[in-house]
Amino acid sequence: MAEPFIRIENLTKRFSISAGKRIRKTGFTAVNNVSLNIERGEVFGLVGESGCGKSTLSLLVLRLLEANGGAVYHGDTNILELPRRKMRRIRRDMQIVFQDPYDSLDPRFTLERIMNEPLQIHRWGTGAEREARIDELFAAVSLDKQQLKRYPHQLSGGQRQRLCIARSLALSPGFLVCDEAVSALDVSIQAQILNLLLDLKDEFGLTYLFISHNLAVVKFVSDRIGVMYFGKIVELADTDELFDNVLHPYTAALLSAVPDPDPFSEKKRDILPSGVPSLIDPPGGCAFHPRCKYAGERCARESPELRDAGRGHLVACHRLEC
Amino acid sequence: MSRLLLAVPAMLGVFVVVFFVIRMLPGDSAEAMLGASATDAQIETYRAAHGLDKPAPVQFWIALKNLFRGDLGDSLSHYRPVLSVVLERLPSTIELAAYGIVLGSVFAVILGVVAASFRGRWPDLIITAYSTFGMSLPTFYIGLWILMVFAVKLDVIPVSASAVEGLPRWKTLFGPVLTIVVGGSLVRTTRSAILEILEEDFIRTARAKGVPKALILFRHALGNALIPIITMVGYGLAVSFGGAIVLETVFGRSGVGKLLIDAITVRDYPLVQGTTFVIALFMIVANLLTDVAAGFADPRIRVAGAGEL
Repeated sequence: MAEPFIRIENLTKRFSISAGKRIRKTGFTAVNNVSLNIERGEVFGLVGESGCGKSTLSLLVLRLLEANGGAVYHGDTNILELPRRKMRRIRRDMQIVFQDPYDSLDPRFTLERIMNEPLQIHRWGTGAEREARIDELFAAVSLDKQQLKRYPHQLSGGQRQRLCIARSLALSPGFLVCDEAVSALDVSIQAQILNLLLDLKDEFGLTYLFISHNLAVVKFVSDRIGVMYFGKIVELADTDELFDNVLHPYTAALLSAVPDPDPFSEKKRDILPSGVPSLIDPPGGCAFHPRCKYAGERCARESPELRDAGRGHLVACHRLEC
Repeated sequence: MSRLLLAVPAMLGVFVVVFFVIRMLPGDSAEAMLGASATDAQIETYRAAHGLDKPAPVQFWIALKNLFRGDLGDSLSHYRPVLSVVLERLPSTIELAAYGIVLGSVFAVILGVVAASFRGRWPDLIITAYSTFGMSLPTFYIGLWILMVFAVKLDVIPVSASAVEGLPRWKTLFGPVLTIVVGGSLVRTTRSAILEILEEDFIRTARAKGVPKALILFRHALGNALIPIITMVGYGLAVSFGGAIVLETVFGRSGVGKLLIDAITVRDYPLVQGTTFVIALFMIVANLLTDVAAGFADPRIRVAGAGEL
């Protein structure tokens, strides 16, 4: 394969919390030594339950949050080391669509101003050219340009998310992060938006980092999938390979939790004991071992490395090593 | 529009309360005006002449009828219609309130924005400490300190503004306006409103767009923080008319506040009523202005009000 478009290396983010009166500082690691490559033109899906660090990772990749360690390469530049001005230039190429289209739009801006702002900030074209660009984008996401003078609160949820997408595409980025981009929408609208995202990918030659807790959604859009648990990637493979040949017990549990449309199928569910371990006081060894039915003595002792189990299928589990 | 109609019963309520409260106080204007040496006969004559001998409900009815004719009665101590006395003092108070609110707001908003953008670091700590200090001190105390420093020690302003003729405008306003600026609580409102908004997703959107920090702060954050700020400014405007009572007394300005205090001292019923009525009217107008301004700051309020969705 060609040179990866986005290369994430050993990315780490710790948060500190001050607890109690004595302001004793404790902390937890939200993203722990994550490395992954995203190839140009692919959709990389990232799944995991809430609190596993998916969103933190997406913010780190775009440098909307400063990492504590590691690197994010865009082509061959490590964007985490760029000075502010150069970073701003590179933002044109890396955009994000957030989960909640209600909160991610300034309520005081008309749609026109929302669309125009990125173009103005980056001194894109003349006034007329910008107008033409906005028309083009509205057409691409099937929004009516009659609505340009309106405010976000006058739109429906689906329309708002289309607007967010149009906005993120304004500067023709190559890389788009979709952080739970459809989770806040009705199921019927979700499908619409997913199809729209896939159409836009072909139309504008985009690369996606697609983050969701919904495995069905991720399966639908992704070429490759990374499964995240407790700040780490525990399994990573091509979509088909992952679904045909589940290796990590956590992924298996996630898969069995996907609802089955056939009411008569008696699927055996793999139900996890409840309770994500405490982030502040993490379990030793493999973070999954307290909930894992295969856990052995070694799992409590040492943390498994991410290893290639063949055909580019990476997994971090001791069970597969012996 | 409906807010405007609601103002009418509010004004009537104020009128009723003031009318009866002042009559519950011991002593009346006859005694206050004529002095301790007055005979009972003199007092009776005075009361009859000014309608004070009638039962309170009858007095109230007469006053109410006059009110609807735009007549607030005659002042017992100024021997002139109340309305003309109040109108004469009004510009001074409006001037004080306007300068105080405008300068106080601008100053407070700037400090609030600075504090928010340096959250937790030393500029924030200094500004927060300063504003807590200013808020905790009573107005008259701040006023006296300002007099102490600028009038007594530095001698740049007079101790009593009305005692000196032909002063330049700024010298009469400096003390009270500075007091309003120092005592304002707007710094904290601005700071917390902006901090709250900086957590919003659309701020992250703006950062992802590459909007520079200063623009995010002033365009996205301050714009949205304006709604709570305007509410506070409106409240400040309403309160400043009450605050004028203290400020005008401390700095010796002859405005409506000082007028009210003097009227209470001599039991000039019609004047107390008239002054209170005008102050209440201004508070209601200030509230109306706040609503209108909030509509301009927030399209969501504006559109809901216009009934178009």
